[in-house]
Amino acid sequence: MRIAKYLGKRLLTFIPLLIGVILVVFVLVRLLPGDPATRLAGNFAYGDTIAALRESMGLDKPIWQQFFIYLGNVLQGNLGESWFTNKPILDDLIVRFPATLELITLSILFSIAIGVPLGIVAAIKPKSIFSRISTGYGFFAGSIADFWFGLMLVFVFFTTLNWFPAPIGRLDLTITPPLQITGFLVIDSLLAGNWNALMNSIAHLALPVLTLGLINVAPIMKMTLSSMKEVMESDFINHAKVLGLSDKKVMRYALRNSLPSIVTILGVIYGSLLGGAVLVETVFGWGGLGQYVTQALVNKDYSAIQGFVLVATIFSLFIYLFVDLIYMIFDPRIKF
Amino acid sequence: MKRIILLISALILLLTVIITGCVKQSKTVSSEDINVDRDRTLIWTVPATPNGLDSEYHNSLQALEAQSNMYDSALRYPFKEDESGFLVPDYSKVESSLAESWELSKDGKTLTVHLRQGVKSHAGNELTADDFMYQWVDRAWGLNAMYKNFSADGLKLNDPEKQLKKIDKYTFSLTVDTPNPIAEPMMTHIFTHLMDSVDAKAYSTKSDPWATKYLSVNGSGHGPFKVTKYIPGQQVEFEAFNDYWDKKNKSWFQKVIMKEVPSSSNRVALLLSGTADAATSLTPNELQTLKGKPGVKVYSWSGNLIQRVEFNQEKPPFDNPKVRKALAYATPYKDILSSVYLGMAKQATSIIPSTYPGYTGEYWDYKTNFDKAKKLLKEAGYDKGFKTTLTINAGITQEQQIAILLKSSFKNIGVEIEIQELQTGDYYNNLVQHNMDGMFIFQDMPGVADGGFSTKLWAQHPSNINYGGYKNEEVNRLYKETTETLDVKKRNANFKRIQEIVVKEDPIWIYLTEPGYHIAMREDIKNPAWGTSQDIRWNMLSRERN
Repeated sequence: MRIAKYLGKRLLTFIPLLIGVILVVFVLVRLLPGDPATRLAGNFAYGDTIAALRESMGLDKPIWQQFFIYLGNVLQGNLGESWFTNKPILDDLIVRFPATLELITLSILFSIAIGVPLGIVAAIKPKSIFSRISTGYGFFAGSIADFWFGLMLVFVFFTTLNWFPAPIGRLDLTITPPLQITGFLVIDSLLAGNWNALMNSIAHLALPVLTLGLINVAPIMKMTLSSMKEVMESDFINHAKVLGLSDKKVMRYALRNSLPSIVTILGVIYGSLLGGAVLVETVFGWGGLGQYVTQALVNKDYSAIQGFVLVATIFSLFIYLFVDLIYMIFDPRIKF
Repeated sequence: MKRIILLISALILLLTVIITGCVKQSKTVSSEDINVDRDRTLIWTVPATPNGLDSEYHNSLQALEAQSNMYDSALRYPFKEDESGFLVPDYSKVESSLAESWELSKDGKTLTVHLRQGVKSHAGNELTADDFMYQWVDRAWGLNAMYKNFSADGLKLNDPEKQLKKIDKYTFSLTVDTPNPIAEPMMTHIFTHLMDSVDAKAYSTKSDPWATKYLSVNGSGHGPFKVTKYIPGQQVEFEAFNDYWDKKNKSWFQKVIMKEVPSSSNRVALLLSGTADAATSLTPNELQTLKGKPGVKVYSWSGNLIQRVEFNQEKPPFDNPKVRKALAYATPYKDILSSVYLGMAKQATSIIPSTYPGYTGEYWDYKTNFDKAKKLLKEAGYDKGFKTTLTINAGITQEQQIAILLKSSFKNIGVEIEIQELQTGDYYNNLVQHNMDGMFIFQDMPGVADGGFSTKLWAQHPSNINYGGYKNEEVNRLYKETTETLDVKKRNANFKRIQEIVVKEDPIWIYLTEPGYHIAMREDIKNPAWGTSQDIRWNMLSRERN
């Protein structure tokens, strides 16, 4: 019951937050240099034509009026229409959101699978060679650019060794995609029993997942290491050791107490990857949200930019809510 | 703890499945899932998908290429073989396309066009003179964009309701006040293509009377390909049009996938692996690397692009021709051709492309000479030099390199330039609004192969795309004369004099390069046919496996 009350309260706080974000983004996109009507009209439209386009795009109205019209539409679930794809923003986002979500979810799982165990081992055996290699890798992965790493993986594993498929998106051009149910190609292929599409989509996921995953191992590993180290040096762990508890049990206590910090960093990374994977999406021609919003920014497609930010904000808010709920599971002292 | 270990193990297991799947992938994709014949599918990689498919608004290079393959014009140039390996337009004659025949009256003022009968559009409607009338009398003037502001000018149309006449179901005429020597070449241009008005009208709405939303993402043409899927930022798919009127030039390929691959190095990798059949917009370095690679062929043709440094001539110091000349003498031409283009471009020497009729390169004599440049600056009253800006388009890699070379070279004559790099969209916003200050690097091509067309676009005043505001009364007079006579000799003499003025006496630009048109394709793809809009006609291509 307390959780339900807490959830209700948290969800209520989303409303002013979202209105604030909508307002800030609405104003900021209009401060971008360049006029969308001129961009849309092409190189040979002048004066009257551009003015007529501005009118049809609603840009001739005072900015406050434009804002309230937009807010009214958003409240009715209408995010507007893209000036460049000529489709409702919601439709565009629904097509592209699962592509990015599938990519970043698998990437973060990969990072957890590598980063957390590495961090634990480095914390438990700080002087071992393994620990030093892990720390070195943490520095290396933290200092390289993801798009460069992606290009290198493409060069080695596609161009040179031809082990992985071409970086042209989520499926080979000659493979028929399964019917969209969830938008996750792996799941949809499984549901459709389309094994070729399944294997092909998994194959296409490999290099971008490796790129994002290996890069994001660094902060996860470092956070696990520092958090575990701190806990391992705490009084209650020393007490547990003095009492003669087994190493396994001691480590379990330490890990449980380190998890809140690890979960926090995971939440931050996962939330930021929604738009932050743009360069990797570009390298692999992924066709996800990152690429969509980049194109929208280039084209000054206001509704598309606003729609993306709104979705990204909602996504981040839910991630942070989820992180807070996980806190409660790991740390019973936290009461809501 | 056990649960956590179990979770981690499960994750590792999942990853193992992924990686195993990947490694086997290239061998396990069976043909049962391939719903298109790869042999008859052309995979065409581009840096960006077309910015739209309506030629009134959308004219990125990829949009022009898509439109050239979806729409036909009334007339066309026949293709001829060139030593470069390309099929290139033969500008010496114009032939019929959607028009079965046409006549230009003796006084050169009336062009009568008889359309072919029985030509079907992609939507299945028959081509009639109503399509032409809709496009010009209604849509062009209704939209007030490309057709009205660019093409109508070339056709000398200013009052279409009076000047255009539907004679019968398949015949229309165009009558203008003075002879129009470029009426026929204009009718070959992509921006005079014909569309299916019945289809367009079916998608008109009260708020969008000219069906711009529909035509931005669909086609309504009579060309060899129809668009079947348009996903901006990802890919555009085209299917060969089975009822294409020109049976002789019907496409060998059944399907074309125009795939956006933003990274040029990835386009190269896809081509080398055979995943893609063509890689467009590659850097000179990549093209050089690809030469001699097995399975790949690089095609190069001088094309019709001219790259130059333009000036805002409405303000000092660039209103003074001596300053423009001085900078032309301080430009490191050899370095640009060798270190930026690696020998894959030609020196630009005229306002008319070197492949076009009417061209002469005899007036360009600007070999780098700092002493001469300093002397000219002194004569212009700028012996201490000056500071200015050089705006470049971030979308063209070579412009950054050229800008750096120019900055360092101009320092030798005391001219300090600040390089301002703009994103392509912002660059064009500034350009079309005539907001460029100082100097700017620009490249463009005249789509009509006539000596006067370049002057019309860039040197006559006023002109919408005379972005630097160049004004020379003699050029204006000479150009006007060329537009009002059919006398070829007189026109050629005027073109020659115009080139003497805009190159030598009162230079309009610093003539940098003719970058040319280059494309890398799989070796088994034959017959690339190049059009003046920097497009390849996919219906002329075929795959010939040994």
